[in-house]
Amino acid sequence: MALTQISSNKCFGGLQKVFEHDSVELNCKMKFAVYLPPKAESEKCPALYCLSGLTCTEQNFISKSGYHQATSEHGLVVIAPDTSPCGYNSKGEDESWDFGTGAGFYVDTTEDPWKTNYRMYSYVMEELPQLINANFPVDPQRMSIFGHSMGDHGALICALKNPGKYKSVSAFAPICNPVLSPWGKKAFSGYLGTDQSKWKAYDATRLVKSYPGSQLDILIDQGKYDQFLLDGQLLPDNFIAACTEKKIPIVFRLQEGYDHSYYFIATFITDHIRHHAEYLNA
Amino acid sequence: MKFAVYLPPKAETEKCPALYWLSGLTCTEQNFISKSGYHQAASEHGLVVIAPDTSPRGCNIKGEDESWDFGTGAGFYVDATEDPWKTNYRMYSYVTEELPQLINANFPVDPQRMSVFGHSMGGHGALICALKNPGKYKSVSAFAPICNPVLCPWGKKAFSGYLGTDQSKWKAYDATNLVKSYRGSQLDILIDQGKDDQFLLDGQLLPDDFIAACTEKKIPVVFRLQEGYDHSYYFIATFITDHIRHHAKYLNA
Repeated sequence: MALTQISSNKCFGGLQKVFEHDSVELNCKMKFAVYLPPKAESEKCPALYCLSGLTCTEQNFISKSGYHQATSEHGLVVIAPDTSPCGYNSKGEDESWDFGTGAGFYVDTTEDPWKTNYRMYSYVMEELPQLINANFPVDPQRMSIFGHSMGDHGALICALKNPGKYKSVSAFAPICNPVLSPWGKKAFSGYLGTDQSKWKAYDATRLVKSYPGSQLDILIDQGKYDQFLLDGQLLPDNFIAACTEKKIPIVFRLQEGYDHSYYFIATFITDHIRHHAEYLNA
Repeated sequence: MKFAVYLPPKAETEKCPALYWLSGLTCTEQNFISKSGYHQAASEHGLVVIAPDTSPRGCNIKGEDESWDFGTGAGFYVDATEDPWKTNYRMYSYVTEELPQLINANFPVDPQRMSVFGHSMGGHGALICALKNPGKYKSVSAFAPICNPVLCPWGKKAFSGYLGTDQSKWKAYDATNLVKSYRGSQLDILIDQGKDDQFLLDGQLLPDDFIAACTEKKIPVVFRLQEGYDHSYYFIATFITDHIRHHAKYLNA
């Protein structure tokens, strides 16, 4: 798989790069960002995947989150893909900010006209890690995942559907129970059709209820003044209840005064990097 | 005009020092506050940070949007004397007079404790504001500043447009020239410059001229040439904490 480097900028001693490649899963060109810490010059590093939220590209996280310093210090390679295939010219793909372009929802769609391209679950779970493992100095046995909002929904479902694949998972303001939220209902009905049993396979709260896997240490930060929380889009309480019942350790921090923005992410990103480093560098 | 203000936790209970950030070409008040990663250090050191836009906007001046390095987003922190710019393009007075008065009147800041810093065109702005106003700022610093605009393509284009052909007017806004006649109190200048900065290689920034002038006048300047770094916000983000700390040392003294 050929990679084209789009940009490279030195940052905190490491290199923030952006690449483009022809995705087989998504049938289009995809960009992704990779940060290589100083340690990557001499040894393989653990890989931390960051999944972004609605409307984001691979640019938002790498320019606004302030993650570089902690990542450089802990010696992690951080990969941030785009949030959907783009430019395929599917009818309707640019009509909504919360469906289609920039809103892949990390599912493998089953409905037309999306099913040829909108396979973000397989892209994130299979194609992208294979590409990263083949082209960058990463240890394929040490991977973790986190994200923001729709990206957190993605991180949680990836971890819950693949016990043992990730050493740790964390989230900023995740969409925890999409089958019950307006965003989730819109996305799932469009991508997966009306059969709600197919929806549950991509719902973190449902997946936890049947999670058979090894211990997962989940860290979630949620802004208390997050408008989407107040609008019932995120539903963390449902997820916490399900985790508690299954005795899955979860640290949920409701942050007074914080909203849904990258200012919120930037404030707590170092805690999350440290959380992952604890498991990835063990 | 828009401007950004960061109020640290300390501002809830007491007046804080004010640190002014001046951005570079094409920026608005948004770039610095979303990309530089300055918040943690500003919060910890208890500094109010103000970041204005880089030019007036929407003035309906013919030609204001034709270039990315002149007009909109390229105010160059001068008071223009030429038509059609002179009515609106007065960023020097805006940054040194109007904006601080507004900030002092509306925010919990100590008007006696101000510092200034910036990037590129904003680095030029910070240096000239400090050099033209001895004693006004406690400290100054810059990322990849345009140090000698009268001799670089950006500066020549901007100054001839805003100030006309009389180069004595240009020198009044040139940090290297201003240092040569600087009479003020000790100014502790910190400059970070990326070694792989394309604009450095293109002769737009000319830091050597500035360092030579400072050395001759015995004005302390710490100039750090950073291997591998370019002109981007990734460069700024890497060293911003050092700059905030530099200013805090003087502002919190």
